[in-house]
Amino acid sequence: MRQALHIFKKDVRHLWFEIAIVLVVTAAFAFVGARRAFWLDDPNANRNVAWTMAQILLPLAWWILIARVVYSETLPGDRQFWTTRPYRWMSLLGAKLLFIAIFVNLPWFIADVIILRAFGFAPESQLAGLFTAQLLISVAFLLPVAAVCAVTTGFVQLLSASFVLFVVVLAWNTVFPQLVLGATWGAFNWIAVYYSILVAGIGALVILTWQYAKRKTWLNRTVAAVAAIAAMVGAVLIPWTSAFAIQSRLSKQRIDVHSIQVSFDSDRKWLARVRPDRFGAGVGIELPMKIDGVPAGMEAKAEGLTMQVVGPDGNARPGAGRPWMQIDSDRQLSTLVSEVDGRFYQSVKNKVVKIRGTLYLTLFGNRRTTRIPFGGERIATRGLGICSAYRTGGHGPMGYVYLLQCTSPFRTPPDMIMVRFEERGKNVFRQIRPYPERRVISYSPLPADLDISPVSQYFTSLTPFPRELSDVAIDDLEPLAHVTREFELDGLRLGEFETKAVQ
Amino acid sequence: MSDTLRTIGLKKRFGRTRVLDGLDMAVPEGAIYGLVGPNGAGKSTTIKILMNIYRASRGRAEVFGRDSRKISPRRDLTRIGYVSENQEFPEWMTVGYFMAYLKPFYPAWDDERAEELLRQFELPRDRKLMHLSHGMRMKAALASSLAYRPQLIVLDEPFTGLDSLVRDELIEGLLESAEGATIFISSHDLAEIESFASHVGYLDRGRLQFSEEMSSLIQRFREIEVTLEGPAPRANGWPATWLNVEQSPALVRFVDAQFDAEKSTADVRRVFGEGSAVAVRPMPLRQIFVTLARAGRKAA
Repeated sequence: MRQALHIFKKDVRHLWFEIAIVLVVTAAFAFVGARRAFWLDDPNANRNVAWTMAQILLPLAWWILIARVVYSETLPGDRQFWTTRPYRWMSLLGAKLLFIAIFVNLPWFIADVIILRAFGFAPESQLAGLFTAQLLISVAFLLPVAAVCAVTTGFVQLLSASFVLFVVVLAWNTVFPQLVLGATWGAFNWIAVYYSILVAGIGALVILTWQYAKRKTWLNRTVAAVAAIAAMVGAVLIPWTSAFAIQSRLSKQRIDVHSIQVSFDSDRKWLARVRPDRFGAGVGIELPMKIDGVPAGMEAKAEGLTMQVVGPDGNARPGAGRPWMQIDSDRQLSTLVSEVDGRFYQSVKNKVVKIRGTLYLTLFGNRRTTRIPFGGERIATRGLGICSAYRTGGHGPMGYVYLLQCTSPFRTPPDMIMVRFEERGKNVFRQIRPYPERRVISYSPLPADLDISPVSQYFTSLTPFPRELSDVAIDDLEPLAHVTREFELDGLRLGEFETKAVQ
Repeated sequence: MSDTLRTIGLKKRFGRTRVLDGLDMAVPEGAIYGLVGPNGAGKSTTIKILMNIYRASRGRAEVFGRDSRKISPRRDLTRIGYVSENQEFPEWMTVGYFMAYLKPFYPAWDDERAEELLRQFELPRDRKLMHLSHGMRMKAALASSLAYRPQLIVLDEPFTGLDSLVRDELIEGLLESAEGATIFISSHDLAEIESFASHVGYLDRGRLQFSEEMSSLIQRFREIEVTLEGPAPRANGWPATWLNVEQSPALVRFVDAQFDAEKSTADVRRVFGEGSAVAVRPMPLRQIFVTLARAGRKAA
């Protein structure tokens, strides 16, 4: 420990300028981030460009500082003076990690505390989020950067390695635009992303330990390449259904799903479409579905669907779409959106077929309603954090402008939210916009997301509106369970729904 | 007396290039061992394997009787001083801070000695290493490697690029401060080390051509010139220790690598006859090396 501290002090003395830059950028990050809390009171406080810059500059400053401190005792090579001095590898690695913890993690932690306070959150009640955010950034960014520095000789190699990685990710993204990091998985995205982070973090730890202990640079460069490939390819190869199964195991409640019934929604039959592809390869199918029997007080959201069309002779063809893309869901009203083989469709189009499949559902419940009066009062709201509602304008031709602003610490809660602007008066009760808000959410069980910002903000507005409203009601339903339900749509004659392209 | 450094069948390849080819070498405790050889002979590679910077492809290297791959920072590196001509230093440090920084790494660090070395080498404490000349940097490196009285000092081409004045200062400082220590020094120039080395080894193409005490080396090599009375006899049956044989109708000249006054004279008489005139001349070290290098290449 004494040797680690000795090396640490040397690095502090050597890198004072870089440390000063990181501290200044972190202070700017804290200042700009905290000022955003007051933007409705003071328009000058809403410096979006400054905030974006701060969020870019901070990781960049960290990147440079980590590279500089690791390169103070470069590991690859045979000419460094320190390799023939009595350095103990654990002391050297310990000194570097201590340096990162003191000059990267700690200032950022303090900045987060400042920003949280400015937004009205008591930091002592947010310790889980504070530490989780630190852990995620450390595993996903700080350790991998340190590991890459440990197997390179300087900034030229570091930039080259970063450039190669960037090109590979770009190429990968181009080849698999819808698959990279499960980008279209929505709220389940975190499983693929955290898998990649975990692989990157474990790879970084292995590289750092081996490289500091043994200095086997080529072996560790191979480990780095393997970890990068495993992080990218593995994330793509995780089946969505497996991700759902993982999510299901993390459910808050076990819910009996036998009462839930999935059927063809004959009331919305007019929405059914079967569209032969103009090149004849596949046939698009859109069928409205109805989900009944959801337990009382709950709402169901269809997350994905797997299906197959079964002909009268028992011959079946699976839907060609990906599970999370085969459903378009809005509360209990869902639409199956898939594609089947064109030849198969032609052979069964005028026959009675079945559609058999599995529906993947998230059940929301524990409804709570919070009312927020216009006037800027800050009200703790489950599912959205601290919310304030504002009204400007008046009866004039421009009407009123209504605004709801909410801030939650570290992440957007994955709740189902309905924001209702309400008009109340004598003999009048009117709700405006009483449907679920579409928000980017994650079902991750962790208290923080992988994000440099300690607050997540949500805005919605109603503008211009001619009448004076009384308040905003926010209905919040928590995700309780992720369940699957087998279904069978019987007696369908797909040819009945066929539409043809006009042009 | 035990060996401080030893290599047994040491082999090292870099890709397809064979750098060391079964090196067997022993450096006795307390010796000043000069490892000499042309550029690319494998001297630095040998040192880097001994210092556990490189891994040998085959064979074994020992330092203080232990496998060099298991050199421990606390047990071994605190007893070794290493200076290399192409070492990278923390350029931003001043000489004074460099010494102060290294001090806690060495339990046997001697402040007085460190001060003395700085004075002796006329090193400015407050000047950054990056602002020192090559000679001054080597002095700083040597001072930082002598201040804790190492038992083994390993110097890899320390005098390359130095003028003779600086070189003499370094040698003087080294010899004054390293009493009792084993010194292992590599050089491509024999002249750099012949004045103070007690042992010498000659490395060429990855193999040690010879290794012995300097005094015995000078003792056993002689240039012999034989003036013949009649035609020279055929070379068959001449002793194998006669190297670099040059012959003209009336004269034969060679180097006897195992000179012994009685035996060598008897061999000459046996080969060339009693009437031949024999002149025996001692050889300078440089000439011995040239002879050995030529003989080694011929044998290869």
